[in-house]
Amino acid sequence: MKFILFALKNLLRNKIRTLLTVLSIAVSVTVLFSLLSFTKGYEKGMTSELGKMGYQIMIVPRGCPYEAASLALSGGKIPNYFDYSVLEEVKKIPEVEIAAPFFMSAIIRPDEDRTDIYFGMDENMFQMKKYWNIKGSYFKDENSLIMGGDAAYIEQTDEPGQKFYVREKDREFVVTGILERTGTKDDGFFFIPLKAAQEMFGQKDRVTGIAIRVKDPTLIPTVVEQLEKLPDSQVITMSQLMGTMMNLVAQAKTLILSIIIIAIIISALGALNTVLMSVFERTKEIGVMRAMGAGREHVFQLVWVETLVMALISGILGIGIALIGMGLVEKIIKKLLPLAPQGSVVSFDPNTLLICLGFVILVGLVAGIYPAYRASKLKPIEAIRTE
Amino acid sequence: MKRFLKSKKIILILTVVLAIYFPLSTFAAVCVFRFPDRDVYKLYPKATNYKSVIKKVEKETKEKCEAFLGKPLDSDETELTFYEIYKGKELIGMIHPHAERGEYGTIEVVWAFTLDGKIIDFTIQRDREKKGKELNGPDFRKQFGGKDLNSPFVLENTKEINTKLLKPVQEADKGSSAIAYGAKKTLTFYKYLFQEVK
Repeated sequence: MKFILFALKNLLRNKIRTLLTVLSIAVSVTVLFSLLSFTKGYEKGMTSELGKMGYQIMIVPRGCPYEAASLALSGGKIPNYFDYSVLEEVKKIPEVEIAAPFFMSAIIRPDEDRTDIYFGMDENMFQMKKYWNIKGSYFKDENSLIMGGDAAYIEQTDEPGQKFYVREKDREFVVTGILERTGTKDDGFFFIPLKAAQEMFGQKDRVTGIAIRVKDPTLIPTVVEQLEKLPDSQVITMSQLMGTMMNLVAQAKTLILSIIIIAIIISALGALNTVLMSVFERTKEIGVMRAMGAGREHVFQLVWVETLVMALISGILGIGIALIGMGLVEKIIKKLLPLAPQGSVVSFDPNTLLICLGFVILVGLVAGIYPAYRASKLKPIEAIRTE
Repeated sequence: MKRFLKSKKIILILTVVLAIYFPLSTFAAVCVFRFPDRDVYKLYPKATNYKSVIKKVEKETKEKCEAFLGKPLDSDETELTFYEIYKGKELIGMIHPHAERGEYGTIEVVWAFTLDGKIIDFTIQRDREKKGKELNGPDFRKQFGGKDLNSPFVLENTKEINTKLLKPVQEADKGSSAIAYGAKKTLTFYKYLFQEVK
């Protein structure tokens, strides 16, 4: 304890220099902690969101499969369609539990700063969305509409029975149900009967995708094999989609991590320089200590503890800043990332905290070795003579 | 000197904390003014600048507004953004964007009014009404010009339009009433958040 207090006193001798060093390490720790928290949070959010989809396989029209799949997940105008008859082929596969066709399209109004996403579906999709809590009821007729939780909030629609009008298509609907918030993209959609969607967008008997739930998840490869034989369509499994997204995140993570490591090395060199300077300034003092009976190991320990204390303070400060700024980081990421899950994308994890603290302590220990060694090697008489 | 240094440290810490929290608070602010650079100059052709003012609706103000309107405020009406409109350095008027449910969905209206609380004009920035064009047309809009809280253009304790004072757009009674009630609400907010505070 005495060593720590002594080390603290020494560090406070040149406050500005210490503060700048602490800040430089703290900033690196902040970025490291935020990055690790984001990766954890993103994976958690994505797993939860894909789990909530209620299906394991999706068939989309030929084209870029991931573009279509990401549009189906995040909402948007899918430009390709396939014939409704594909559904009959899918239903013939014995391992398929539910096959739900859907039609998704969007109406963009730039002069009103909004994009309305319409999701046409039938009762099969409801079977998959068992977790949905609807205030009101399922579609009653072709003019029924179910509003996602956020859409209903924006439209100030709090009770079923209220009217809804699509000006561009001159189509009137009656809200039969309001979806309780799910924490997924569903919250922003307008759900309408499949036939109504096909008619409204002039694509009779065509769909933009089919969502498939398999009776037993171990049968997914067998089903995929059979689905791949279908014409003009491409098969995507949710695990493939998850893998692709996580790969994209991993690539970005590697790049950012490399930059952080360089920043940490620079900070560690800064810490080494700070302590080394402090050792040079105290050469005489160290000489007196040695002359009064302090051993080399005492001097080594003292200087090493100084670096360690500095690193530890930086680590705590860096993590503190990251925790305070977590909300902000989350908002920025969600703005920048096109396919961020609806829930939290930055997750606090005690393990991440321990990893960051451990890492910064390690940096402190390594950076402190050389100055501590130099200090312990000083000869008392020569050190006292130093001007 | 020590005290001065201490207070400097406190200011430094506060600055850092504020710098971290300031972007969060602006993110959180309720702002439905979607095209300020277009609509400010449309409603105030002589305007040269504008400044946003965020007002918190405290409990007492909320009660006053609700008593005046005879209706409860919406649950999200806890923080409101007004825009002060300037011509050079002179404050020439106010703008407040306000949303009410019409017949088919939300109607977002941007209200322009004088410093003494008289409506100048409005523009609809978002709506789903069948008669949206007419509701945003000059015939309906000009009826609001010069009206203030003393003009009973909304029937007392209702959201209904007073047809003796304002002629609703044909086949759009609900939409017309929603806009009129929005005007009354906007002027009520202005009264209790600006005029009566002075």
